[in-house]
Amino acid sequence: MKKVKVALIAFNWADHFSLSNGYLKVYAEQDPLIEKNAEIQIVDFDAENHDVRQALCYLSKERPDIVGFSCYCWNMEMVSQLARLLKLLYPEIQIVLGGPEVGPIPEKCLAENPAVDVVVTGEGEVTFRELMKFYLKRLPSMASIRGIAYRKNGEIVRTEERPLIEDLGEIPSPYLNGALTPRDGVTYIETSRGCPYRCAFCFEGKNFPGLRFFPEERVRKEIEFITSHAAIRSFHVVDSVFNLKKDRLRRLAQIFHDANRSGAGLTTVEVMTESLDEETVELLNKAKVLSVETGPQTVNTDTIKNIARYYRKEKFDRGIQLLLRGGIEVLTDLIIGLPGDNFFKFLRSARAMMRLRPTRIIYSILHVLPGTELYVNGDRFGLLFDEKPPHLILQNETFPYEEIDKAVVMAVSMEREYNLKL
Amino acid sequence: MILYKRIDVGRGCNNNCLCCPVSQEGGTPSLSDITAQMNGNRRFDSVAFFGGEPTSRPDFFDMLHAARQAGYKRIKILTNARAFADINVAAKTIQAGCYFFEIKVHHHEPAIHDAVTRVRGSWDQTVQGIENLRRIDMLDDEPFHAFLHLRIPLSRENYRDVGNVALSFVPYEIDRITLSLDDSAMRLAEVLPHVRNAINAAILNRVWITTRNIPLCAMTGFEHHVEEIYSSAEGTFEKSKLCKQCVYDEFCPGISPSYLDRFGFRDLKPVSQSRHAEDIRRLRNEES
Repeated sequence: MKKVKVALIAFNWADHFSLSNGYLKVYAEQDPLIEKNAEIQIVDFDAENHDVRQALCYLSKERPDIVGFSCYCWNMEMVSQLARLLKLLYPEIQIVLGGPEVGPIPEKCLAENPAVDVVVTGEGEVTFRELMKFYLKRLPSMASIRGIAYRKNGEIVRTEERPLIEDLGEIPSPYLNGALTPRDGVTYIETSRGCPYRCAFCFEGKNFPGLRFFPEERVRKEIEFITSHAAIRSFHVVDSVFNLKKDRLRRLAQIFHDANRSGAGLTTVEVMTESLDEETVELLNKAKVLSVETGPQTVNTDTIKNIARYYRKEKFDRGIQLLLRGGIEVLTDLIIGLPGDNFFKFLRSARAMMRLRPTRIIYSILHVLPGTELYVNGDRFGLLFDEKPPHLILQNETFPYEEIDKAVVMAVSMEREYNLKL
Repeated sequence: MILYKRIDVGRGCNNNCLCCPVSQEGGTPSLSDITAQMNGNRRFDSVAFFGGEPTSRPDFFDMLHAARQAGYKRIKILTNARAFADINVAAKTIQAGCYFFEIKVHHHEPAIHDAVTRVRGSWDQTVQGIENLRRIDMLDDEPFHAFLHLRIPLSRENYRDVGNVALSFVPYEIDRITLSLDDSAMRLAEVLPHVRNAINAAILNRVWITTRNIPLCAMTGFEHHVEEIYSSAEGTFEKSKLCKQCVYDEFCPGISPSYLDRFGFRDLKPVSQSRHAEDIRRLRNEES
């Protein structure tokens, strides 16, 4: 029997690669039926340097039967275009989309993209494996697959929601199983999934509530493997919050310390600054964390309330000073366009950060992402945003468009001035 | 919007500008005086040298070195950039750790610029200096982009053209523009429409633009651009009794005495209401 060919595709920025596609491949291939009858390849395209026609050219040579796309706000337009052209050329090809850009709005995505056959909602590993079984004719219909939306007789059908994987140990490591090859500066590992917080602008907490952990022994093996590559000088942990539980951080720091063969550093680890103390900073140093990224997104009380973010000024300021004194680089993030803010309140946040003297200050404009509280209930704050990705904010009831535009121009100038090579 | 410790490095200048706002009184501080100032109050992690023309000091590079030694993260100079027409000077300055340049430009037409500076050929050198600073795009084997901040002193010679002056430098990837009212010979009512046009043109071209020495009441609708909102005034200013009625009174610098001598307060009207006043007050209070 001829193997079913599957291409899992991601358009990434800055030479990164898709961790999620690695998970999909290794999880599906645990099933002997899929392992035997399907050939799953991961294809990463650079969103800056590869255009859609290059991707089309590649796929025209490979001729996969099924193409899966990992969809984010920054690549959705490329995905839509490529899916449309692929379907024109090869009408029989099956096109499956997943990821945070489409999962929360599958019906809308299918309605707007006639070339797309299936949208995976929520966590993808189990759903993708069942879809593969369907395509290998081991499942009678898609109706029994939870966590998808698909077309049936011209209608869009959405199946029951799929619960999250309880034991993340069920997912093999894409590094240890050869699906992904570590590269310097762009290698991600995940030690946990989910977030206990509910920030209104963020996808993670609302869609993956609570925390689930990968087995610590598996984390150890991944680090040993990644740092055994001599070229790897730094890698990332993509956990929502790295320092949530101190007892776990103690164990993780020991693992990161012991398993790190080459002395590679961890960069831009996300931390909850308010809960840092001297011991935590020591543990971060022990884990060889070189830089952390943290909020506060804004320092204005009304805005903090509107976006349901946890921010305590004194604790935050103290945490930043502890990190800097501990020799860890600190990147603080501010968002332009949050409900409750305006030009001068944004400037107040920017000045508050400058007074703290973090290593860098990162400004971004609010993306009202599907699946977030602001996307669902933005009307409460008069949010106007672009329905098309990357879903940039236009205005809200406190921050009119002209002021947001000025704030963006000012922020570019401030960012260049503050962050210029020191 | 970083606050810099401002250090006056003396009167010496290779231009001789009409309406130069710098008092010709006072001497030139020695390097040890400057170093002592830098080592004094350490509220700031960034330092700005102004004058005069900092590059005209024979110990210019020693001064930069001293600033680095004193631990300042950012070193800025307020300059006419003529010295950087020699790319070796530009490179040496950047290598010495000075990456921030606030450059005075009077006009985009060489003849008018030179007429203001009263030095023939100064425009050519300033523009060449800007080009050279931009040409240095690698430092320590990493991409580099010097922070170029254009300062356009508003004068009777240029105020009608200030929008075009600003726009003509956009191709040099200017990081910020400041319009400063240094010449008291024009009425605000005449200048302000041109200032607003320049602000709109700069924003349209995605360059942040600020003003200096223009009272807040004259900038209604454009308060976002008033630099004194977050940094202190650079000179001595005065107010009228009517200013007490203005919602911006407590954080507005006022207007220069020489302007008042000529035109009085007739173009300045207290602002009775503003949706920005409370936010600006809070921002300002936190800075102080």
